[in-house]
Amino acid sequence: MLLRYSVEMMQEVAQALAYGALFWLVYSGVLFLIVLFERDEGGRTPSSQTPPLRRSRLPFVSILIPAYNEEATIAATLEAALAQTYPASRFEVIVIDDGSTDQTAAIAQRYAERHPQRIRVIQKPNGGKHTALNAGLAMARGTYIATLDADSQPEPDALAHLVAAMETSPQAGAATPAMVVRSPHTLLQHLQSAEYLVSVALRRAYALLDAQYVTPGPFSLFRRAALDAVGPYRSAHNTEDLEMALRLQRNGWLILNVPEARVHTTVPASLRPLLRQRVRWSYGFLRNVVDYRDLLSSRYGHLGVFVLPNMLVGLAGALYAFGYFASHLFQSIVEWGVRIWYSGWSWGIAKLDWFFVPLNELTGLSLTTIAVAILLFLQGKRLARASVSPVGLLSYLFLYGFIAPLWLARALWRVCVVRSPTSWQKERSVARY
Amino acid sequence: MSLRPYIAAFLITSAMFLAAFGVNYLFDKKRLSVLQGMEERLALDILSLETQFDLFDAVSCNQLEENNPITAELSELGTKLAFMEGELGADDPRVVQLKKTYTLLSIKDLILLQRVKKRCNVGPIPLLYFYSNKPGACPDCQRQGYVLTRLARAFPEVRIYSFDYDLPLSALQTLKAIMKTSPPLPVLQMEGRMLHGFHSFDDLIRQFPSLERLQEKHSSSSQPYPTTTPRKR
Repeated sequence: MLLRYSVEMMQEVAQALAYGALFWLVYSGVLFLIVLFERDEGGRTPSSQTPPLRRSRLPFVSILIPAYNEEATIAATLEAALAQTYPASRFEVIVIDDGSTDQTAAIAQRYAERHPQRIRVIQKPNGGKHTALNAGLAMARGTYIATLDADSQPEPDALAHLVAAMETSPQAGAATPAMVVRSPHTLLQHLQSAEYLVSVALRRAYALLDAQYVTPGPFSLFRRAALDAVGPYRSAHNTEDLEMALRLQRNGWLILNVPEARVHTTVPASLRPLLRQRVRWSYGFLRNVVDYRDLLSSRYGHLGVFVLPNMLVGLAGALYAFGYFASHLFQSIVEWGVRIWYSGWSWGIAKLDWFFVPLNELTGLSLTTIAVAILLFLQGKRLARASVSPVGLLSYLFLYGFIAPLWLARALWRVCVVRSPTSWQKERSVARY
Repeated sequence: MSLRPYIAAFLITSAMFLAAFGVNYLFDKKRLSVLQGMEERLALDILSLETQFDLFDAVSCNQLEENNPITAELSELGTKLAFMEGELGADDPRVVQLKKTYTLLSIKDLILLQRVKKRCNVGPIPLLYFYSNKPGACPDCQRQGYVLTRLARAFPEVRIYSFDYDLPLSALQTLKAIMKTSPPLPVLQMEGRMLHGFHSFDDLIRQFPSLERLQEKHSSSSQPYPTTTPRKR
């Protein structure tokens, strides 16, 4: 009797926690949708026109491209940098080869020889992305510093959009673009293309709440004065883009989001490199939040009160919800297998009758969560003016919840138990973003 | 820092959750009313059959058997009731109430079947199956239920009556007393023989001579096992 009540009690608690996790996920999604509709001019579509910039007063921009073994993509990235509509005389490109062992440096040198006034190449021993960025900063002459990953290609007007936004907001320390996936081929890449559009919507909402906590490595623009004020890049658990954003927030700089500026980035094609990348991101996020725990305060507005805590609670909630759903799914599959084993297959088992539609509280709440995810996706699609294949959306809606916990759990394990850092070099030697 | 979006989001999310719970509640209510309707129809069918039986002298055995619409409906009711048990829980008072009615109807059908069998020597062979839904009380009951589903499909001449051993229903207690049913569960009773514990399909055929004879009959007619609506415990 006691065992029965204990089991029932545990089941009730597990169910209540799963409902709580779903409530939190839906709540945060709804909140960000409200912010987008309420504060983003009623859901306007970003203009595709390049903003007017007065040529006589155009600030000089240095584009830093840190690269480690990027021979496959560096040429395309340099072409995209050179194709910027921002006047050629008003920006320079600095490639920092971080001790690549492939043809990255040679390719970059060839471009530098063809465009000596616009491209410079720095070669240094391998030391990590933050050292490459700092080496580039030391050579940069710009009033603005753009950091560009060697596997990402901004659209021609991206730089102009970011500079225009920064020029109108003197308190802004940085501006972030909308990131979209470049030429997805595999199922995982299609999935990520949908995920990136959801991130476009979320990043926009964070910016409207003045709560962006990452200045993405693929492409971001910084005010030189802000970087000088907060200091050089740090290793920051191999997530220097996240740490820099937190440091800017701590020092009172605004971080803008400009969805009109689009950058196309390469994403991992298979599970292994994707896991490695995401474990690094999640691990870096958790460690940096610990390092910057003073930001979890009302002094930092929405960032400290909701956005950062939401990420932590969301991580725990997502892991729990995954565990709960996975155990239920596993149980159902086992039961189904046992049933087929003992009773044999019969179409009678799967007969079509509305009575047997598995509509219960959990499926109802799951459908609600999916509806909110679709609304966020549509917002991201509108903001980024991008399209995603139906495969991308479907795989995101139905597979992402089973894949993301893999890297979340691994990152959490590393933070809490193993305490082993991630490696940017190792990740990039195996696969590119 | 404005709290407006936080409050609005909370209200909207709460409304969405309430709507999800509400739709689910209405859906369950609809399903339960379907079960209730089935039970009412079944009660009427049984009453009709009983009346026919009382008028036995005027009705031939063949007519009595041909007019029996209960089997399929009782089987469907059992399947749907088992589904609702999974959805709402075995302890849900609405489920327990429907299950009591279902059990009563099953017992009445069993009695009627035995009376027809006695007088006319026709009709299906009853197999009584006692199970328990209490956690830990009967770990083999689920497997046994699946085996009986296969058995019902293979031998339509066998009618399986499933009873929840722990259901608080006086008629069921009486049936258990008459049949001398006792744990451990699952318990299978057929033609005066009682089996305890899990038994596979082949094992059941070996244990019950009637099933063995039926299998031989099917084999000699060289027809595959006929199929019928699966019967759940």
